[in-house]
Amino acid sequence: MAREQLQTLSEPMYYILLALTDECCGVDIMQKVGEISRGRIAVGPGTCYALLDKFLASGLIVQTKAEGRRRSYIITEAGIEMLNREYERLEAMLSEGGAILNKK
Amino acid sequence: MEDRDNKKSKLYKEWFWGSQYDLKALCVHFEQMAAKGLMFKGVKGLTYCYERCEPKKVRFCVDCFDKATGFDTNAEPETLEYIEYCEKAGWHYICTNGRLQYFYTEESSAVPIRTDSGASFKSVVRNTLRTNAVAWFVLPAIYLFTISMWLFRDNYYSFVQMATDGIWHSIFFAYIFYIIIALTGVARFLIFYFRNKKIAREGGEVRYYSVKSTKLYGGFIKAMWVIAFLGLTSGIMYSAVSVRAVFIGVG
Repeated sequence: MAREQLQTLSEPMYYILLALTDECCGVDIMQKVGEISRGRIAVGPGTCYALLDKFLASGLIVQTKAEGRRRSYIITEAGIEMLNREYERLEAMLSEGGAILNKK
Repeated sequence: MEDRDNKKSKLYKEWFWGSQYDLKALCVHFEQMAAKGLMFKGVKGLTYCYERCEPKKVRFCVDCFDKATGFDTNAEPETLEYIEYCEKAGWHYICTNGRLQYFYTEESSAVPIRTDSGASFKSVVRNTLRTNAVAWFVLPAIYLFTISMWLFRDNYYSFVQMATDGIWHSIFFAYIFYIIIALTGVARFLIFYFRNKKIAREGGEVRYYSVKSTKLYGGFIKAMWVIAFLGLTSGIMYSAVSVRAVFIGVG
């Protein structure tokens, strides 16, 4: 059921998974997403926490270490596959849209 | 003694009716109070506690954290982790009241705690139904059942029934008012839910009730409870007078 819900990724989901291609502490992910998106995407702490939970349950990320309450995560193979699928989908949208819009 | 008096004069308490889906109204109300020099410090049930301070411009956020329970009065370990995320984003933790976590920030640029309105809406709906299941459905069902048992009872009018009739009338009165309160709560929630279901699904901004609307509803609830209490006490007094009259008559 969790995997079915994650067929396409929203922007925050996409950028959080991108941020976790390198091991990262949970509390630092929000800042990293801001850096990757050059300030365009802002993920709230509550949303970030909830999405990390969702990704953990779906097997898209895995916890690498825990120092007290600070937990670090990294993306899994399944997560990379999901990211690549999303990237291809966005590329297809871009080229198909470009073909029509450039004609105009 | 002087310290205690000083502490007392710094505190201000108020009763504010804010349901689990009145989060925005609560935040706006806290911001208005802070601008008047009363900084929100904590909550117990429906009693909100403020500390007198210099008027200031702060933003508040009341967030529903699903992993907490409705019985939490302090932050549990999982909640503490979530609080750390919020504090990293510039939000200062105030207190916990069940699943609701209260924060404030003085940074105008702080990112809101929830940036996904769809998920936030689902969380609010889930929390509201979980918290009010007994008050909205179970208790009214029990009261309706009791009322129907009383209405269809045997018509034999005994001394005991006469003596207790006043009490039954007052309980009946209180039950009816409770059912009205529960029904208005359900109706108000359903309006909120159906008004925002499509908006939340499309990622739009959820429309919460305003402070004015929430305060009006709170006033209505207070009035209903006062009337129910008066009905209850008048029935008990009537019953006491009836019993006394019977004994004097027999004597």
